[in-house]
Amino acid sequence: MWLYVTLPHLQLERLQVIQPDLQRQVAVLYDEQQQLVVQMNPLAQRAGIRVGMTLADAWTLTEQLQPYPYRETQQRALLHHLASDLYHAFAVISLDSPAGLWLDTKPMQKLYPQLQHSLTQLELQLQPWQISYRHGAGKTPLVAKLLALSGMQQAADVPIDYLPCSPVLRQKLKRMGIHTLGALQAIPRPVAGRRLGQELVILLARIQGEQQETLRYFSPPVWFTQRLPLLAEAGSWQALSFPLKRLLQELEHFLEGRQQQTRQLLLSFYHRDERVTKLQVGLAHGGYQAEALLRFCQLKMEAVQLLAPVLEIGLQAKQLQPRQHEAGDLLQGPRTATKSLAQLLNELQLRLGQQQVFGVQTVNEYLTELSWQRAPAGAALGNTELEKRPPWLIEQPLPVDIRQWHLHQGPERYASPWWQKQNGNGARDYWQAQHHDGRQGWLFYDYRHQHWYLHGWFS
Amino acid sequence: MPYAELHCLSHYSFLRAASSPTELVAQAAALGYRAIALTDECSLAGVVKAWKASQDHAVHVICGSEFHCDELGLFVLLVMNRRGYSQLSALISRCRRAAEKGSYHFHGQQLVENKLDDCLLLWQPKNETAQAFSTSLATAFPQRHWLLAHRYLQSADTESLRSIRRLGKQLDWPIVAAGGVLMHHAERLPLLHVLQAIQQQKRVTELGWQRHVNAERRLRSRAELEHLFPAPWLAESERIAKQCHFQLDELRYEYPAEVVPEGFTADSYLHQLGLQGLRWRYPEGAPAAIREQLLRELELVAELNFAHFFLTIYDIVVFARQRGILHQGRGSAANSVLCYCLGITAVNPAQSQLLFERFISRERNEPPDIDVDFEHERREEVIQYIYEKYGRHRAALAATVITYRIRSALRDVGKALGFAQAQIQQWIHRLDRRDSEDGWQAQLQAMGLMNHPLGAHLIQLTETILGFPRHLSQHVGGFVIAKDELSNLVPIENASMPERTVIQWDKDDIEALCLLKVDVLALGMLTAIRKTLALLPEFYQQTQTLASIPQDDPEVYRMLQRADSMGVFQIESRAQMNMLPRLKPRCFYDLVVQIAIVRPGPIQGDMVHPYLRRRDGLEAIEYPSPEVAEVLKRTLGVPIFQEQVIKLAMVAAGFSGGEADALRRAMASWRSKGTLMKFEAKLISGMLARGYQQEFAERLFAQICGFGEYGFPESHAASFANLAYASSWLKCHCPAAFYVGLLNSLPMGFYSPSQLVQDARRHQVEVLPVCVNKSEWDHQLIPRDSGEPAIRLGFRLIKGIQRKELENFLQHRPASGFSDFDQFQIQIQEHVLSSSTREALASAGAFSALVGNRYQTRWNLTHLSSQIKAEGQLSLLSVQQAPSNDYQLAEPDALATMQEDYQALGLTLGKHPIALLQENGHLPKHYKATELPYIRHQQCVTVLGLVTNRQRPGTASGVTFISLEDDTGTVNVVLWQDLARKQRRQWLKARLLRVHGIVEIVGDVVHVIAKDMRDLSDVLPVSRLKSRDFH
Repeated sequence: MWLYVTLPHLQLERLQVIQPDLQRQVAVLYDEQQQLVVQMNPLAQRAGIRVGMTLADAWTLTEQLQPYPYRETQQRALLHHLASDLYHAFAVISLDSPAGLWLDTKPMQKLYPQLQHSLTQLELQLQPWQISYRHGAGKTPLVAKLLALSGMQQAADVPIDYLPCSPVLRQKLKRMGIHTLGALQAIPRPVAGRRLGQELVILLARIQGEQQETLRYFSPPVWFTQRLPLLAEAGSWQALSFPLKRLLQELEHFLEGRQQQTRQLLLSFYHRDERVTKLQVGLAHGGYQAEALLRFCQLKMEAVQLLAPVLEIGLQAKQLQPRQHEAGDLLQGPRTATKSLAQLLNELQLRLGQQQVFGVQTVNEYLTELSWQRAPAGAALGNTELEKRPPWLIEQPLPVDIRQWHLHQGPERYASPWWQKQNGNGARDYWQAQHHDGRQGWLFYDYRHQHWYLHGWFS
Repeated sequence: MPYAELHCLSHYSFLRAASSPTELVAQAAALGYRAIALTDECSLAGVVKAWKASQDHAVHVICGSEFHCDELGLFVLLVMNRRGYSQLSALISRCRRAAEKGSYHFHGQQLVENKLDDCLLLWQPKNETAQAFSTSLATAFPQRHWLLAHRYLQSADTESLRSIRRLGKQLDWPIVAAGGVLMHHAERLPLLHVLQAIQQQKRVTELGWQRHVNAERRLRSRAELEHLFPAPWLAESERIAKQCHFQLDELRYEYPAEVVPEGFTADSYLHQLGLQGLRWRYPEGAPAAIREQLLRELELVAELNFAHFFLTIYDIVVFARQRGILHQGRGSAANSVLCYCLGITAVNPAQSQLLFERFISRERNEPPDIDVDFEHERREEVIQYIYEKYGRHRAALAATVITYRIRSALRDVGKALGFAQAQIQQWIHRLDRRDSEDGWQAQLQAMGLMNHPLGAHLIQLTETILGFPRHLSQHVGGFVIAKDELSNLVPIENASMPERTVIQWDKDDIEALCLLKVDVLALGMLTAIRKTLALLPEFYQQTQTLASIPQDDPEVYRMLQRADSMGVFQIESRAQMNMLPRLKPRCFYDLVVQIAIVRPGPIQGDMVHPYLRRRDGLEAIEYPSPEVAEVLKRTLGVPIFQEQVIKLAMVAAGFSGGEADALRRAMASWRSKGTLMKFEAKLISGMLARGYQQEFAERLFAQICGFGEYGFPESHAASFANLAYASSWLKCHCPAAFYVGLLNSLPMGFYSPSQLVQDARRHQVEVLPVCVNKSEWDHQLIPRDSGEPAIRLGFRLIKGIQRKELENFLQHRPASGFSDFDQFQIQIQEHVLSSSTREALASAGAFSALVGNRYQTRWNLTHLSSQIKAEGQLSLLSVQQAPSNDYQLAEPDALATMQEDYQALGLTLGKHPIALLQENGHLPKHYKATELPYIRHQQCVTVLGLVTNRQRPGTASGVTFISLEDDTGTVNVVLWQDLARKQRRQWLKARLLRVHGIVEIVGDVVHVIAKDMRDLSDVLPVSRLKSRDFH
């Protein structure tokens, strides 16, 4: 027996869980390319919006529409996540992206002898998700899917519209008065095949179970889990470092074999009386070396107070990914123990906080203030085709007395960016000028303030 | 220091520059420039507008154009005289014709190869290598070549000035200073950035190095220029400008000579034709007033030198007459006796009071605008005639400039400013509402636009960009015909349609220069009328032409008074049908009024109710003076036609002919330009001075404002009434032929084939289904022993069938048809009729004479066919035939048959869907359309039907009209705004709607005012039901 679960509004419903206000609004997810509604919430349904409707039509039905773009990658990730959860209860799962999956109940028969047991288990697993779903059960995967999508009880009643065949074939069938699967199955197979083609024959075979459905089975992502009981109760962080180091070395070995690195460590510290302290260590740039990972964990642990003595440590590493090649070494020279850039950045970010560590990049702009921007740490610098600019730029331009200066090259006129509110419609004339005492500076005259300013030094 | 700007682009260099030619000229004048050259990129699209502006300002406009050559740099050509203008225009045409629409192919080499002796050259070489070309250029333009120097106050300035100086010495070329102007004022800089962003499809903030960093590319003051450039370079600009003395009005009055035969002048020939025509139109002798009018018109035409216009159109109309193509002039031309005598228009001037000044007047000094409608299916023949007679090098279509409208402007500007696409869409969709009178700016602000930091910019930039040209497209039917090469007059480009070319000027430009333009338009009703008339001899034993149809038939007017006007030209819409029983037309002039009165102009000007009341004798008719009475008598004291308003301005307020014409123009565009208010004071004071009451004057002005751009000229309404009466007469006396003519001319008109067929059956015309044995491609008439002929539906009605293929099949069809289905299958091979066409025929029930069950027939026809590629790359279709009837399919029931009918044909001859659904118990109890007139006024009823029409006219303060079709007729539902909003999801997309409401009966007109609605579309099994929404 196969179970098919269809989750027509998965992404939107998860969004609603994160943002509960959405439930009180008419919300839809729409495909950006074609501007069609793909998922919606009950309020949207009540307003008359339908899946497949254009966004323009949806707008005419209600002014309070909250449209959000549908993200395919997120949908896939959600489905995977859901499947991982279901994996606790069902061994054989096959994903039918973007919004459905199959469960094979046969291997689980010992656990769930009746279909009803499987359904209860399904409900249990899905309950914390707070999503809507429909299911269908059939002898073959295709039948299960058809029943789920159409909402029919019997395969014979499934309308032709739900058959996975070409639109041309579907039209032909409907224009001959064949509207249901039952009507189609009533036709002797060779007769139907002769008139309507191989596609139909194969489809019917799949439905009857004469042809195997090729499904790709879901396997949960592998991750590392280990627990280590301690020889003696540990009352301080220092005492934990040795056993932790052992665990991390095992992790390093595990990762080495797979040529992977991890981006997240979950440390669990088990105390008496079933209490657990959990600590998450995030590594923006990934890591795999035990020593480095130990340092990160120590950094994190120092920030947290140990509440009670620890009896056992657990280590879990999820978010495994292939190893990145090292960025160039930051430290050069004879030092043998070099640190990679990624490592350094990880440490800095952990110590100082994610937001405090960033890089700088150039922007293709003439105006000085706009010609650079923040970038993630470690990003490339960008183009450096800059004009005649002073090497030393003053952050806040200084008003000067023009009589002390002698202008010799210019003007370069720049209109201030009108799209930035504070600027208005001013302009600046930049000059290279020489001060009486010989220094070369970069001056500008601001038309709005009608004053001269110094913006940088050439020497 | 005198200065002339020699390098300047307008917004006709699409998306490169931010000001209009008018703005540039005005600003140049304000800055005291001697002259300004408009040098759009490979284009002269803006020069006429610039020239027009220069008439109001003291600055001379020079024609020129800019060209980019990848290897050699930037070139600017300036025109010295008429010859030079032709040379430049020809060059531009060549460059444009060699490339696809919107671009041009140019290489500097062309400057040497083409004759450009009367042009001046300005050059900015790209780099060192380009300089090698300078000798050839100097030889080709002796004493007429300069180096172009710009200065934009950027870091590259010093170097570029230095190199230009060096180059000038090296090559011995003089240097001239120019602005490279892209806008008339610095305040346009944001818009310039937005245009750049739109062109590169980026945001303004992403433009990087490309963005113009300052506003120096504008028209600068002479003082500034003196600071920036050495005096000799500036002086050079004036020297150059002095050599360019060409004025655009030198292009006027160059007409084709063919239309005047040997031995005549244009005027003398026209005179002769006019008198001949007078004898033809009035065989009993023309009334003296008409004859005098004709002579007066001929005199005026001769004085203004417009004879060629009439002769050219006359020639085209004669061609059409010889080919039997129906035609009729429309618009203001119908005011002219001359046009009537030449056969261009069909409105007898003796029947109505016409205003020739509306057509041509001394003050306006504009060429006559003669629009002629031709049968839409045969218009192409007329166009080909023009091309053949004058040659493709002398005739081309006028351009229509596609400009930014509010939606496209918001979208493009919003994207450039970085607004999220979904957000812009939201605003645009919500703007579509014509709910309130607020301008779009106020609506956007109400939607919270100002919360966004760039909200104010979005509004302001959108306002500025509205009306900016985006690209040129071809006009629908306006042809320009030149005396010699058209490309010497105006550049010609490729249009997007293959084999079509378009000139760079639009209608206004052509009018301004009095070039010869003829408008060849298409009208579906003319086709329908001709086809109907063609059937009369055989089926009705009479022959008629459009001109010979008996006038003043009371039976016809009785039919119209019953609002039985579906299919009739101009008076078939829902609004017109509602007016007919109220106005009750009894004569031709009533039809003229009927057509003119059901339009936004008179409705908003509140003319309709007073007119109807006076007609019914419910209101007294008073005239404040005999002059006013003269103008308004025939419309019972209510101004309904545009000419009446103009005449009143002249007669009651003392406007001169020219001033009245200016008023007419202001009326035409007052909503967008607000120019009407200027006339308020003059009108009211003029009327007061002549002794009229303040109240009367104010009311008249309010009516003028209401009229706006929507009032009809009387002559136009009269032309239309002519066709309306003709089609009514045909519907009344030869209904079967009438419907066949219409059905064979679709698409056109207001109604679908389904509605027309239902109307035919309600008129006791028998309609026979499509039959493989009996039908042709077109719908046919079948004679009956007594009574009306029957209509046999044609194959053209079936969806998915090709005409060629079917006509080929008809050649193979035996004269007596096929005796059974197997015979058909045997006789007609696959290559004659493809499987998909057979299946389509089966679904349409075309085989029902041979075999009953259409499902079974489709089954029998369904085969697998595979394509085999033979060696010669021809693919053969091989069909594997399965034996017939190897499986039995059930017959479709009545509902399924109806569904198949709609899917295949778009209509059904069986029971109406409503009747079927009712029989099957799917519908609640309800009243039928034919029952409603017998219901008490203000009674509560339930009605339902298929939604065929949703309309929300702008004049009706948010009211929506819905038409519901049931098995007996159509119900008119009125939906007020708050209910519309509340129950939007019920009615907006419904295909089958149930309405609880209150019946309103006023005279013979019945409406249902909706109180509650429900969408019943789920009950309906049909998907191919279309409604006409929101026209």
